[in-house]
Amino acid sequence: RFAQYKPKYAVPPQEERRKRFLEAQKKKRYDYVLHARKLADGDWSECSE
Amino acid sequence: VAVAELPHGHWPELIQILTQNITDPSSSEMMKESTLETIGYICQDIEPDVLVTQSNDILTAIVHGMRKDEPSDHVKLAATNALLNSLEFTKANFAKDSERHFIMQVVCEATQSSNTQVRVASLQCLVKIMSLYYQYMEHYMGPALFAITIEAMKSETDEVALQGIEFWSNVCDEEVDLAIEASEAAEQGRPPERTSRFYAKGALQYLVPILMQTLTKQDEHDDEDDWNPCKAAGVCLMLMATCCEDDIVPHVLPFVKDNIANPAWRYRDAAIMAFGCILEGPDPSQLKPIVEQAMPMLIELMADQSVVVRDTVAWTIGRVCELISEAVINENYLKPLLETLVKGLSAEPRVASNVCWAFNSLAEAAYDAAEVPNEGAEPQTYCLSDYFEVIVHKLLETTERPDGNQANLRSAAYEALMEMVKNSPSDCYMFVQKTTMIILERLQHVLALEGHIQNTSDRVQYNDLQSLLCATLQSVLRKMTSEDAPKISDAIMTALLQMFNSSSCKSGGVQEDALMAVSTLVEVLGEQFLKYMEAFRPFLALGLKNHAEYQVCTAAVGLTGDICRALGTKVFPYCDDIMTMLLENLGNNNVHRSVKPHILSVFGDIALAIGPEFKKYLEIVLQTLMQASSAHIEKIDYDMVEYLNALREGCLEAYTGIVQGLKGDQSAPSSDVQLVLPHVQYVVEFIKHLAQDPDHSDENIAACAGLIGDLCSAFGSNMLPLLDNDVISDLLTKGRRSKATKTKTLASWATKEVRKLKNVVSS
Repeated sequence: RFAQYKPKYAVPPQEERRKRFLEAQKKKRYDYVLHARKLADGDWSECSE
Repeated sequence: VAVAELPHGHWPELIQILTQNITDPSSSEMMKESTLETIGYICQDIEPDVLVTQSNDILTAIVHGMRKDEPSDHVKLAATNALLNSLEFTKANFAKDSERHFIMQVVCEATQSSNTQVRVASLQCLVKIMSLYYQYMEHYMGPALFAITIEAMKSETDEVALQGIEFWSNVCDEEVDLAIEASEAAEQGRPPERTSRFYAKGALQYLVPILMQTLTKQDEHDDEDDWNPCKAAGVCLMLMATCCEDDIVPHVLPFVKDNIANPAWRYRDAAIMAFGCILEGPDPSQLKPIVEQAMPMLIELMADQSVVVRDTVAWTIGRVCELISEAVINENYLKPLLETLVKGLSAEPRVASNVCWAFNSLAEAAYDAAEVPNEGAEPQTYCLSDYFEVIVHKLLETTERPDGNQANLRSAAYEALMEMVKNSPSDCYMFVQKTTMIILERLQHVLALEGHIQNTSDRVQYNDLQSLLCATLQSVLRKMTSEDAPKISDAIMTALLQMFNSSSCKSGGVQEDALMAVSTLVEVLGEQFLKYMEAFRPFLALGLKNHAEYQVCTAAVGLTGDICRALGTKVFPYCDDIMTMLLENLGNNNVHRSVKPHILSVFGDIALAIGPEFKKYLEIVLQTLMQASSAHIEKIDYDMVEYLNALREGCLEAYTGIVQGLKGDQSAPSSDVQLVLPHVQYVVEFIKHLAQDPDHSDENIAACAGLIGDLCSAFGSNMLPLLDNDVISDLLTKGRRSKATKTKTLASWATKEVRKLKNVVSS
């Protein structure tokens, strides 16, 4: 309960940084692979359902 | 000894001996008390499953010690504490009406004891019973629990009042969980397993006045580490607001209005606190006009003569900025608010720390509210642009306050600075550049101080400062244009290398933040990072070998992936070393399991970066992936389900990288990819196994779909016999129906790739 009194950051900042770092890495990987698949941007438009 | 022996089936007669001690009429008071204490300790430390079969005997003995006509308070107290520790394995007893009635009766009677310790312990039992056995409490709420806990909340004895408040905090926690369960069940079109009885909502009118009265009982010289009913009431009111939402507002507002200008500071503070507490839960659109109305008063109260009041006001403004930012980002209040906040950065550390947090939220809200030419683009300007320089300047000044180590002020100021930079529009770039130079200078200055550290406390502060500077560096670097980044990268890398070399990097926190700073540099420099690789490689190795601090190891693994993406084929000369360390980590039981999925994904990054050169690692990596993908992991809890899914996602990402990397980027697949063909059947079996696991994640579906598409484009119609089946087709259908764009995109693409193959075959 102590940590719930006048709480500030929903997630401790260092943890938040860590989380964002891993998420950003995941996104970079996804974008890179998408690029390798030639799906990036323009190439993808013809593939919509 | 019992905790060591009982789980192995040894000392089977122990519990019987102990329980007999208590029920034997000839036992002395001392004998009963110490036996009950023994039972209490055993129950506290043992795995609950071990005692389930003996729960009847234990309960009988405990309840015997708690009964009304037990003359000794010592025995009663020991028995009540033992009950508190045994509640977790008495599920079966609580499920039976008669036994539960009896336990509840004894506990409720004990709450009326004249002995404070017994009262407190029995109230603690009620608190725990409420969270463990909420579903059985209906029978007791109206006739007993409500009155007992309300009376406790009003008690002059702090320990008793705290338990009364805690009871209702627990009720709120429980009912919030039940509301989440109910909405999840409704979404899936099924009835929820357990339902809320809305006790908190029903009791609002009785509880809120008591809580607000308790809020006025502040300690004037409050120590921030103390816990008292006033603080507990604040927490409880917040939980009530989350649980009861709009319904709480009319119960609180009159008190706020009546007391916000009260000459007695305790009432002013309680009024603001109550207002701050209800800002989360009720509908923000209902709160917005109320907050707008309160803003002038709150701004004025930032100059209150009482520091307690100033602290609460600053916290409340911070909450407004976080939760109902539209109420302050407007022409009427923004300017006066910012002036007050900037001034507030010079206030006492506890006040200034809340102000920093307010800037944190304000920066994000202002950036989100800014107009952008297209989604995801950086706005040209925003409502804080005119004040940006002053705010950043003042925050930088705050980070250097000599009292910055109090109330977390220094960290809070750096955090706010990071958010300001992260959420800055183009017209503030000049100030971001200036900040970058200041941070770099500070980093260099701090590194020069290394030799002057005298004691542990200095060391802790010094390390924290280095971590914060590295983190700030990440946020400024991320904003740097690709023209500016190379101009300062030498200086930054020199400082970071010096930091890796110094003894500060023995602290995991510093090492982790420094690795993340390098990662950002890699991102902004791209291939130009190559010139630092020779100098950096020993420190990457140190990170990868830091098995003791898994977060450092995770950061180093992630950075390895970033380097691969940035350098492409040029990373090849470093790959032997990297692969050796990654494989070693995978096989090492001392490496925390959470690192391992990341390592698998990085295999994919390496394969994609070096393409055909990956052949030398292919056999060992495919073998490793086969092991990892077939690992038997018991899904004992949600964490393990999550871990299994992460591990599988790592395998899928590795396969994707390998297939894509060996296939090459030409329109016709390179023959190298044929080396994977013997493994393809296994890979598809793995995908099918995963598809049929009810606990798979949406991310798993996305990764499966991506890999299915990759296999189609690499191996063409050879794949059709493996992929043209219901399991794969159902998986792709599920993916196309996902809410996540990524999953939808990949599943649609894979469906189309499979269809293309079918068309080729049929034509």
